[in-house]
Amino acid sequence: MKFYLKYLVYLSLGILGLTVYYSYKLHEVYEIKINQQKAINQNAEQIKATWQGLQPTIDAWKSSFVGITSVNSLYELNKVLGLHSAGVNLSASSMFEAGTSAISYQGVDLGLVSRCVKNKGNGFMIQSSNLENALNVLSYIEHRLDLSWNEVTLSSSEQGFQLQFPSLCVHLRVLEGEE
Amino acid sequence: MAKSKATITYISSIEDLSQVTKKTKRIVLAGSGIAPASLEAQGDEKKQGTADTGKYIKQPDIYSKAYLGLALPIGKRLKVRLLKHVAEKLVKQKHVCLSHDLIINWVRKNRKLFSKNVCIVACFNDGNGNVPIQIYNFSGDELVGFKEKRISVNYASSDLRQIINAEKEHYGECQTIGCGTPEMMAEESIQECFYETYGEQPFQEAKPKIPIVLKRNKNTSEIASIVFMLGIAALVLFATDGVQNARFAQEKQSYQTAIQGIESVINKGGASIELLQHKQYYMENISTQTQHEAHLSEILGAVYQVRQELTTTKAVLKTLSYSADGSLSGAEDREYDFVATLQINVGREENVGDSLNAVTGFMGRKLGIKLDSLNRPIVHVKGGINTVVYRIAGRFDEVGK
Repeated sequence: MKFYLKYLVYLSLGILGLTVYYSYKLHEVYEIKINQQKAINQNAEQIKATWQGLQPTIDAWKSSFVGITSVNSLYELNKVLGLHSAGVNLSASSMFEAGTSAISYQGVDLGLVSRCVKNKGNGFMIQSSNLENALNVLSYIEHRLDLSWNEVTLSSSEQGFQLQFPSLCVHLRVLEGEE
Repeated sequence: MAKSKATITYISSIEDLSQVTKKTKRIVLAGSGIAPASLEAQGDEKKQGTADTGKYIKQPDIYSKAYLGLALPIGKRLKVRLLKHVAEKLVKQKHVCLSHDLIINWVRKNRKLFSKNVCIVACFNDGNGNVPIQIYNFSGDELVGFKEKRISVNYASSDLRQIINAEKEHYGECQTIGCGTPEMMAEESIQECFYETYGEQPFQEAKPKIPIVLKRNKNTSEIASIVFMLGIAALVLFATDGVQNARFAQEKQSYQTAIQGIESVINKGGASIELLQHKQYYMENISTQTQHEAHLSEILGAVYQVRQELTTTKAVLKTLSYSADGSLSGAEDREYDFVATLQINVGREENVGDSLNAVTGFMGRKLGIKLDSLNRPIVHVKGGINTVVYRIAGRFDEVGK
């Protein structure tokens, strides 16, 4: 019995040593996992803070650009143009699509689609009775972030003043609910 | 308590170990029978004062058949203290009795096993009806305080009890070992004395309190150590796993709290953040385009002022083209923000150059930029008035001189 006790003690010491060693290793593994999780948590906190900081942008984006799924016809596109708010009455029946393209900025697809329209063979023309009205229309278009134009020509004629764009484009939101 | 018939083998030399058989229950190692040298020296000093002591020392054969009154179970620790070839003979024996000098040496060598003072009472029948009593005790690690007393065999039991009690009283809690001759220890009165002292009969119950009990305690303590160590091991493992697992779970819980409401963003691995930041930059960029209308107003205002201040020119703006990205083509491959087509009255034909310069310079100053004339002016005569239609162009990022 005593003979075996000696070896049992040694065995127990060995088990204790191994247990302490593997406990230490286990502790190390856990520490690595915990530190990784802490880093992930910190990253998540930063993302959340950034996301919350960008909330005004999210709101502005949603209010500035109409979702593309709600624009299924030229009639609805004309409504989105909303030029009647600037005192210009345009008939959707005279409009036609001049092209569609994705909007990207600094190489990043923004999730916007530009739908361009014309109402004359050579562009999009807005007739105004006087210069003041023409400038008001131009101001309205300029302040709309979802409308874009590259070039405009203001000209006068006997009928009044004309604003002529090569085309007038409406930017529509493609990525719905990504926020 | 009924006495068992113990087979006792007396061994005086190593050669006698051949008598040991499997049936031998007790062995008496008679030892050399000679007291240790130090004890002899002590005896020599005492010899002068005590004649009996001197006689005792001088007759070492008295010790020859002496044996300890305790039957010591063979234990590993005891075994290794003996010579190896002796121990090998004893290992299969259940009990062994050792001579007093062996046990004294053993006690001395195993001092660490004794937590208290040790009184050793060795008593022998000197053959003259007297029993010399030897008393040792430890002082620190040294076995000192050798004393000798002599009692009568007839009163050995009561006298021995008194001596033991007196030693206990003197040294306090002391452990006691008794020894004596077989004849003496066979006396029931002596056995009773030891029985009272030890709480058990010396020959019948081979369970002395010292030092074998300590060895048995060692077994228990070894088992306890094993259990303790395994318990510690399990505890360490359990605690490590439990604590770390709890910490990890807490971190995961923190993560769940952190991502609440932005799960889709997290799942996209920050792509949504990047996209959103680009959206922000894009919106900031297109917001600056609102200056185009201001530029157009400036141009129109400048034309109006030409008309107001250079009245003879009667300047009329025919068309005004404006490019949001400054890409209107002009002369010599230059690009402009705007191109204005003006019609002005120039009076006499030779004044065309001056008139155009006046208008261009005036507008340039008003706009704060440098203006270019894009085409060779063509003079039209209408109603006797010379008019010129010409195009001027400019960039708002080019400050005029």
